[in-house]
Amino acid sequence: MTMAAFFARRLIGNRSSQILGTSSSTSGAFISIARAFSSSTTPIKATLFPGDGIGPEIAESVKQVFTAADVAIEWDEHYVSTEVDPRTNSFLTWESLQSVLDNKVGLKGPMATPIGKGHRSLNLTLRKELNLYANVRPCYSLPGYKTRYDDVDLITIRENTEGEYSGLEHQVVKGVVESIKIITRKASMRVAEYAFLYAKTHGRKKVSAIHKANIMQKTDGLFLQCCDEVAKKYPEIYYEKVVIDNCCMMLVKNPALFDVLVMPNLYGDIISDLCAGLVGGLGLTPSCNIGEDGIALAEAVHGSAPDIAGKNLANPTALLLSGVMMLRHLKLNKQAEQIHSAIINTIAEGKYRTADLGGTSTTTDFTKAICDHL
Amino acid sequence: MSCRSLNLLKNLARNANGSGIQTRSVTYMPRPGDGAPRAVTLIPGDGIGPLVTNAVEQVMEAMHAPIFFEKYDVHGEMSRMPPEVMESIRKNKVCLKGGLKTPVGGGVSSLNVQLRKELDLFASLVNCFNLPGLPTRHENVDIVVIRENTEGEYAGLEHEVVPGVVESLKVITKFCSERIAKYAFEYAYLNNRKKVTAVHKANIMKLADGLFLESCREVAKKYPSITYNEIIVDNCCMQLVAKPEQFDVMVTPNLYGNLVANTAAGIAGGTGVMPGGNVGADHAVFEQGASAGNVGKDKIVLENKANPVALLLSSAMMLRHLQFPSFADRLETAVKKVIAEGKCRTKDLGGTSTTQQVVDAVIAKLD
Repeated sequence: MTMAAFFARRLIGNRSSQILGTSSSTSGAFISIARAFSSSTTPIKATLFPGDGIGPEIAESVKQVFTAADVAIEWDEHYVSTEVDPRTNSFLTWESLQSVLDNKVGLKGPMATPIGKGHRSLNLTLRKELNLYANVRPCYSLPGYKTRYDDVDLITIRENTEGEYSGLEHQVVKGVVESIKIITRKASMRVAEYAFLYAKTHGRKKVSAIHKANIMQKTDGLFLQCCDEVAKKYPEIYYEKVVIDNCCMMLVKNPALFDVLVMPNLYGDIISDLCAGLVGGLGLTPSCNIGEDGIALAEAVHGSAPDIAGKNLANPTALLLSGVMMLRHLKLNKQAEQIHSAIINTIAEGKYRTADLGGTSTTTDFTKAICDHL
Repeated sequence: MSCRSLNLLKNLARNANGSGIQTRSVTYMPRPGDGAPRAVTLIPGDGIGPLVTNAVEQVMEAMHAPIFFEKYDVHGEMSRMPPEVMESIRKNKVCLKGGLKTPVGGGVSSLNVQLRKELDLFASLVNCFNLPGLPTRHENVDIVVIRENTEGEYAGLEHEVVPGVVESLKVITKFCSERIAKYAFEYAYLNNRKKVTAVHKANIMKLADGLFLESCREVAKKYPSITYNEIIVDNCCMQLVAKPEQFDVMVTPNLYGNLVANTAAGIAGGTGVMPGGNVGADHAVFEQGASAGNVGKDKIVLENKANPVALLLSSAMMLRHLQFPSFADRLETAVKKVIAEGKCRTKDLGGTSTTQQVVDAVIAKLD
């Protein structure tokens, strides 16, 4: 990883990973080397999708906080267009997607999928084109925001491409519908590898694979097999398998029992939302989608809330925390920690809180309070 | 002067009744011969099964309930349910069951699922409610989850397309969706419930869950006094942990029902206390409401600390199903008193008692 290689990569651009034969983990290293060189000179380019509804306001918040924290990121903003782009068959333009593929990191606000036919859903487009295979959602109790659960500290990692959401349904005869759930070794290995790598790099002690293999023996059985294989390579991490109904029950009784959870698509959807509910809802939950070649697209998973759009009432916490996840992915840990503490302290203090947390502050006040805490 | 003495007399009469236990409702008039003992098939099963079914046997004995059990030994490793057991259930029409352990990833299909399919027990019911005296994080929970029990994701149709790619089929039919919707609304109507919520994921699985929703909507039209709404399953789980009091009766396809029932059981006190059963047109099998993690941990079995409350309350449901309401009431009252007292609780409720101690306490409280 020399300086020459770094410049060569910038020159060759996107196809560098194929040419120089790097794997996804080392391209992460590439980015960190890039960081070392560009700390004072070249800022990192990151794609920003402000989104719809409250999206632009909270994206503005993020930009302010990042500037106040001296994070050297240059935002490459893209908006969802109003017409379908024939190259992508959706409202996201080809340029937007290329930008994420080039920059390797992005931050996405809430996008309202327009109703209608003839185009793919926006999230589906992003997922397929960027090959985002894992959705990572850390859920931890925010000190100072009291919910019924105080000791939640877990991470849900959900396989994002196949499983029950393959979209393969058909009507066999009138009144009988079949839906196909697909599990492949390739996708399961990918997400299992990522889960254990994440656990290791973030100092987590336990990984639980969630399944229903007692009933769906072949499909979830294959998923478990892949998790078993990967677990053998990480003997220092405690690995367990939990049946999903038992997992649901344990989560609502005692969420402290779990650390990292890895699961196929449908269970992941349900469990990650359940965990978000434990800590205070989607308005506070960060999320990050990981793609091949080290692509990371952090996003706020809440809706676009059109009813409060433009009124300076939105809570930017979810997008800010997702931004922090993005910084950690870029290995800018010091600044990530700074911003994270600032957010936690502001909420813990309780003086500045937006309406959804029971306070009366505006978005701009809340943002300013965070900047002050830096 | 006469008013005062009247009040005094009233007070005396009230105190003579005992410390305000139950006021008897208007009497239940049986048909002659209804008191003849009924046969019920009993399957102790694996893990904590034998412990908890033994508890039920003891309590039934103590109450002199008009029930006698025909016990059969079935274990989860068997590939099929033995024919004599099926015979017995078909004859008796009612069965009480502990859990049957399903080996994970093995080639054996779950016996629990087999039983449900063969007897066509298409509705599974779990009643999750706060028990007075048992502290939980959520209050005012009183949810009944009615789950379609025969098709959906548990159809068991899987195959390996090529090495490394496996497919599983989820089948939804109008016939099954309609009958479960009808059962759910009928249950709500007969039990004076005000709201039925359908749980689905039709934004993603448009055809499959879409068909389920269509059936629910059609049936809802026939019950205009019952409120009907729909909720997506991930939002549903989030709402359950945040505001469970908004839910009343929930009707779901197979897989979501499993998850929602376990989540609801967890917030209301745990799988150790929630009753439930499976019912079809001709037969009914009563068991613990939510699965106890595939029959509970071995350590609990060894130390005899399994919680019998769930199966005791399920057997009360069974007694009502068999039309022995006053026995059911006595059993339920005794169990609720034991829980409310708080002295005798098993490990999952935060206590240290053994199964036998709880059973003895319940028998002592029977009146």
